Amino acid sequence: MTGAQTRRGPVALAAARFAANRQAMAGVVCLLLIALLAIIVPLVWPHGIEEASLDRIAQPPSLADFHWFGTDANGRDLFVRAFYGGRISLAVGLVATVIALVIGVAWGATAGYLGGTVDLVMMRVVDVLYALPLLFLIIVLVTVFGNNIILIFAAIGAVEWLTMARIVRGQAIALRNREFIESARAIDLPPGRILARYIIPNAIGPVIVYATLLIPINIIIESALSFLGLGVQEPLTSWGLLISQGAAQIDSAPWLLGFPAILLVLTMLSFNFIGDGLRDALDPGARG
Amino acid sequence: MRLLSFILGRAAVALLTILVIVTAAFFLTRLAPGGPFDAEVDLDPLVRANLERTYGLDQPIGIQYRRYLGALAAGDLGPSTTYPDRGVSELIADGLPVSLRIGLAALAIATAAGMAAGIFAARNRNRPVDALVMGVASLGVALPAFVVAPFLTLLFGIYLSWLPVAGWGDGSLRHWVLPVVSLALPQVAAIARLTRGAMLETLSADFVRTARAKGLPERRVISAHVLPAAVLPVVSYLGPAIAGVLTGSVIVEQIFALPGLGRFFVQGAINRDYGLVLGIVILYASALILLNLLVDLAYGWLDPRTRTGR
Amino acid sequence: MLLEVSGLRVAYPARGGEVAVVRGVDLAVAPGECLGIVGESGSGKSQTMLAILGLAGPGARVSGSAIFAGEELVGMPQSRLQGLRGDRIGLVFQDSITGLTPHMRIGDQLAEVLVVHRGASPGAARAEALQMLEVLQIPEPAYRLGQYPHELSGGMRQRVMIAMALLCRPALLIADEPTTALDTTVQAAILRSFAKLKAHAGTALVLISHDLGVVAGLADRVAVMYAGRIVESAPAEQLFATPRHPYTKGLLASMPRLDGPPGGPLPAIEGQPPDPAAVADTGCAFAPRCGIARPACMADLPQPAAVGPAHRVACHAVEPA
Repeated sequence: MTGAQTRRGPVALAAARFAANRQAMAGVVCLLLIALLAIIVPLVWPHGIEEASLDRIAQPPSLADFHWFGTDANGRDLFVRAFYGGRISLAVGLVATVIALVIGVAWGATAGYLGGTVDLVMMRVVDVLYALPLLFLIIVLVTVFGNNIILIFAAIGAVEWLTMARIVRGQAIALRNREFIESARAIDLPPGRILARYIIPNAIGPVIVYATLLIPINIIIESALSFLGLGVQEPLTSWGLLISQGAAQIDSAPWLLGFPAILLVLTMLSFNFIGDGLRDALDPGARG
Repeated sequence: MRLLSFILGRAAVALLTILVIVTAAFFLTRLAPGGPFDAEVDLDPLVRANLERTYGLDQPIGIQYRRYLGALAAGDLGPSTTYPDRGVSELIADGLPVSLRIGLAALAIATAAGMAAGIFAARNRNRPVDALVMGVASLGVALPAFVVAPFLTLLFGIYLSWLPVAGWGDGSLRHWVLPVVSLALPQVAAIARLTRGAMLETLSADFVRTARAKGLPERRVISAHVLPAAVLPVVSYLGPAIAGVLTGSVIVEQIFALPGLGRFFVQGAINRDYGLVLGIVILYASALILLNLLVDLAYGWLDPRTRTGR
Repeated sequence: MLLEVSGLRVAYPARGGEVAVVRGVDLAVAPGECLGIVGESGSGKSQTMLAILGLAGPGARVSGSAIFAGEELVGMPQSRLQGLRGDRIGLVFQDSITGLTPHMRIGDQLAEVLVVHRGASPGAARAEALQMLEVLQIPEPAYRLGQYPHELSGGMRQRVMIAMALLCRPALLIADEPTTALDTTVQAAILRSFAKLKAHAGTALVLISHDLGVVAGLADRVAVMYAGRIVESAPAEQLFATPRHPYTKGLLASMPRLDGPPGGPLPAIEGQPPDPAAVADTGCAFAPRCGIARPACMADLPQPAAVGPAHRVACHAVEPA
């Protein structure tokens, strides 16, 4: 180890390790590209999302006339729809993850920090929910409350926080007895302040890693819901809905499935690589 | 005796869990805005009242709940509004064999193929075949069933015409292949990655060196000393894998139009058929809880360290 | 000679070439004799023995010669080495919690040695295993057979591992830091069983340790290793009485002695043992830490030379006899 390396802080070291991970960096670039296109394409593309035309129904991809990904059964341009769908899918993934993050971190930190009976009861609740088929719960929630897009965000987030809670609880227990927490307790900081100021910031590493891996899971859940007709509804669209529509016409117009599927899989892979890269960067001892 | 009390304890917790789910799901569905008859917009109020009476929806919620629990204890999950001539229990009896068969087949294939691939990759560590197997596995983890299934259909069902595109037909093997493969693939990939990692970690353990120092043939070192230890992470992953196959089966049954539970479930959800949705959720939750209990028992049997101190 | 090692070299591939961890070692063990090999961690003492038994890590390049009972071990196919390991040559490693297979009962781990090497029936193998546990004075031996490693204390696990290595009555037992993780009383008991073994069964013993004290009571001859080479070898009494190499002197001086002055700090050798990748074949590897190093020590590799009967030292500062 050189002198220059030892003088850098842990964050800089982790960042350097992450930047040296080729898979993870490829993931970052690929994801940024997809996200950027998802933002820009619907704004600038010559075709609108709902712009249908009967004289160009289900045309294969071509460079002419800006139908790069072809058109669907209603003559709508797939290129703009694929990236518009990406907006929704990425947004659902992000927002649902944030919701899961907030619930999971608050739940886990409280249980772990307070300990005792509170911990026992709170974690038993998590155990019980853990044993449930989560997609079914989400479907029940969506069935009951209707498949409004905001509710889809909420339903996914409300169900996917369990692992986060377990991770944070473990960290909180490990941190609870460390000296700096003890001194915070000694000067009578209220538990809420100790949680917010010390426990949560110190548990942040594994939380970031898990959140990165949760985003693709949530995108898949949204896609599965939409695929089943229980998620995003027309005129909105998402990758899952596009894949569902494409799968129905796979024999006549395979590109309708192909392009959204490729975008979805690339996004999955990118998040997985970034998540793995973050884990290796933050905890270099974890893997050989 | 310790084992028996452990099983009984877990069974009690499982029963309680199912009761909580039934209760929560029941009240959630009954209190929700909108009911199964909302789709028919101009329903005559009299007809509506009649329908609600038929399904017992005019009673106070407490009574409805008690009736539901009573019937549930007798194995009756109540009526379905989507299929008015058949009860939910009957529908489940119809769909369960289909779902069970493809689910178990997928799980068996996922475990066998995933472990074989993982062991193969670990034994060929850092060679090109290792990179190839693990590359495919990384991709497989990112490929959900609803993407894999249409492509498999296109290739084997349409281009090659080897296998039926959809449907259950007479239930013969030809009709299973594509659904089972679509269902198993993501789990094969996950189990392969897990197995490889566990194998490599175990191969560097001290006890493997001890076994080699004893002069055991390499086959025996692997089969008796490495594999039982390396299989532990795979066993603990079986819980999530089972959940994954269950949820995957909903999608796969939809894609291949199989008359299984998942299809009834989605139909029920689209039609707001609460009786059907509730019944299937209870069944899936019970299955998952039971299978997780079995996984835990298997783990304890494989790892003596977890047996003491409980 | 039972085991005769000459010119043994062990190297591992590394970025831009290879790193040698054993750099030309000569050793000999007579039947019934105990050889002690002493050195700091990384000196190559364990690698020497692992390499000749085909247990060096993946990618290791082993060259030189190691003749055991007339057979060349270097380059011997694994299948034949397997037949020797655990049968003619027993191996004992430092105790660790994962040193024994965690999911197998002690009895099964012992019995499989006899099943594999002797084709014994499981029943007969168990009976012999039980007898061996009795010989090693493990309390309640029959009960131990049904236990798992995590249910045993460190000292008991270590004795089980020794029993395992002795089941086939090997001609040679190699014990690599056999007492390092254990407390002093257990350590003494295990060394006593080694002494008995040597006296009664005539088993030759190679005792590898970083601790001269462990070797002192048992070894007939001692070889001191530093940076992949043997720097001094002599009959044990002579080595302890008149050490010649400055490194051996340093090791001895840092050893607590009953007859030494009480209290006072023990002198330690300054500096750190070298990184194997940084050791060159020009010059004495110990020179940077040596109090009496002269210019020649940095330039020329000192060759082992006899300084007395069976006493050899590799040092420029020592006049050969």
